Amino acid sequence: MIAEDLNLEGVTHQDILHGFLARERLGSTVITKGIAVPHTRLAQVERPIGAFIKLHEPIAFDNHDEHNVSMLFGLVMPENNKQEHISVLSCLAECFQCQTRIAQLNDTHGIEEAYRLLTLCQADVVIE
Amino acid sequence: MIEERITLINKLGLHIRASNVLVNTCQRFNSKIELIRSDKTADAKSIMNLMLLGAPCGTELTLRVEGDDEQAAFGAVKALIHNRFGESE
Repeated sequence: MIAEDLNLEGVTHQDILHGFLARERLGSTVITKGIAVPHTRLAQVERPIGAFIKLHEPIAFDNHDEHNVSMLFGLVMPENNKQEHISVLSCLAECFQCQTRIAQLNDTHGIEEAYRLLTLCQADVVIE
Repeated sequence: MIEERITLINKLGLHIRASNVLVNTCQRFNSKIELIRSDKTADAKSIMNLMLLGAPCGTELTLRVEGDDEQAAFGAVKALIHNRFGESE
């Protein structure tokens, strides 16, 4: 999904998968119960690209938490913009800190509704 | 209570991996450990809280530690930040 969006920038799904796996080997990207943010930074990428994935069945992730992961937010970030990387992570934390919103995301089956819920937090976050 | 200003010097700032390392260290202590950036206060035992600070390299934070093992906790967190969370740059 992300690879398709990045096709014009010369990034393949293998680049992204390898990046995600290399990052996970350094430590889990689980940020709260049931939610992980696999991510990678690539030189070819000029803007952050994210994809929200909700799983039918939760999967085990390499972490100490007994709760499996049921939602993922995959991120491909520009390699050299470290400020932006931190701002995007802050925005995601803002979004996923709300238990009500997580419950709503769990319940919804509509792509448009999930998108609406995920973008609700944007107004709260100052991107510097 | 111990409080001191401290600057993030690792290249990536408080990204997820650095936050994880910090949380793992802080959880070894009983003390309440907070990092404050202007009007935002983060519980340093929560990855989500640390991510919310949105603190890149060069950010000046206030480290506040309070509890029965505050001296040891303060020393450990300060050393970790000065040591770039174990990162090479």
